[in-house]
Amino acid sequence: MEIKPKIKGMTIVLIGDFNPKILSPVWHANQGLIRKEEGEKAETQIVHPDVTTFNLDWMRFQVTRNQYVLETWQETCEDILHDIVLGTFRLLRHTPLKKLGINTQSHFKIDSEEQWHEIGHKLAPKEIWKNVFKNPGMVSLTMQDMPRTDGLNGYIRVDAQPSTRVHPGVFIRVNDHYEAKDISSVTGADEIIDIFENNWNNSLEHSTNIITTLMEQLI
Amino acid sequence: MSLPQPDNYEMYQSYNDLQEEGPLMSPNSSLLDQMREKMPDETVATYMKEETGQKHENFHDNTTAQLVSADEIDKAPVYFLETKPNLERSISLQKWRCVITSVNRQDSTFIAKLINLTQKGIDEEAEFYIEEISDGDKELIAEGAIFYWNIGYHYSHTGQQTRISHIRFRRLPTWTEEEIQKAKDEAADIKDSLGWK
Repeated sequence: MEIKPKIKGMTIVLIGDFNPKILSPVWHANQGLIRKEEGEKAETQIVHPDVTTFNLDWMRFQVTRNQYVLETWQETCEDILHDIVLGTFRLLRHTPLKKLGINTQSHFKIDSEEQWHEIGHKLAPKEIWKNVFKNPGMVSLTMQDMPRTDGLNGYIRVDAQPSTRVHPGVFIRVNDHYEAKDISSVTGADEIIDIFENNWNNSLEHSTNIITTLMEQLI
Repeated sequence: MSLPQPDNYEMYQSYNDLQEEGPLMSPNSSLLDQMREKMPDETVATYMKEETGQKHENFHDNTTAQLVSADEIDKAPVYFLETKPNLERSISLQKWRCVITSVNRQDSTFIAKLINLTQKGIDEEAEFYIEEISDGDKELIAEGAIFYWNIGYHYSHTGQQTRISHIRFRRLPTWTEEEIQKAKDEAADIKDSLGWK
């Protein structure tokens, strides 16, 4: 039985030193990273030296001095997020980038509340908790695989929670996290962007496999 | 056993989580209030329109949309708009990365090679009508151009499900001379390390 998520999203997060005021929707359009009309009609919340945040109809963008975040809940646009990140930091290659997170998140609809509770029991067996709680229930579970098997710095983390968007439902997020070899001496974007470009396809495939494998065992 | 805690960056399950977890947003404060904590009133006041002598004494209460024309952005680079979380979403059933191999302007069509991203298999070829392409991407139609083609379902914020064929062109800056030279240098290093002549 093929298990497909009801809702699927992706978030790309970069940690580094940014200049938010540059990264307005107009800048993105002028650089050809998004369509001209998107730059003009973006729903801009703020453009400021400390933070810039705007929405397109398929993407949310936020950057502060230390964190850059792109998010979409339209699976058809995931590769576009990739291109925006790649394009931005090819242009701004002197931006120090220290860490990268490629985050895949999925909400699955579960057939019944009974099955939903069963999933919670499988992920977090309740026996020992019944000694201290009257009615234990899993709120969130995080598992981590570290060190990475590809030789790069970082880890892979998986979060599992009851879904807040689908009920009864399960939310699973894979955080594929990479770090520069020596964070303290990073002076540009090349190392992290090379990691991003070289690992993008594998990351998506691996994250999808993790989510699918977990769900197959839970349902 | 304790593990070193790396810097945390926020990931959001939904917009409500963004509200709760994001350092810049909280369910109890508007975005404006959050920014006010970081931006002193004196700084904000310098962004106001001075020539009309407007003083926004109720500035902190005014979080409704303020349209700012392009030529005012230099004078008032900070502006606030209320937004709603984007509830639209889509699921892709089939993805291809496509490369245009030929364009026929007379027939308003183009042919592209399709690389299947959903299942590994042989490449295919398809013909597309130029009118299927969004206006904002039409200028990118040329031999060698890359676009993504997704077939799937789109869900509106009211829950309407629609089958979609979503085509969007790839947009990347062109390679600079510096990047080309860097690639050549790396290739030369690899060649030397292999001992090739």
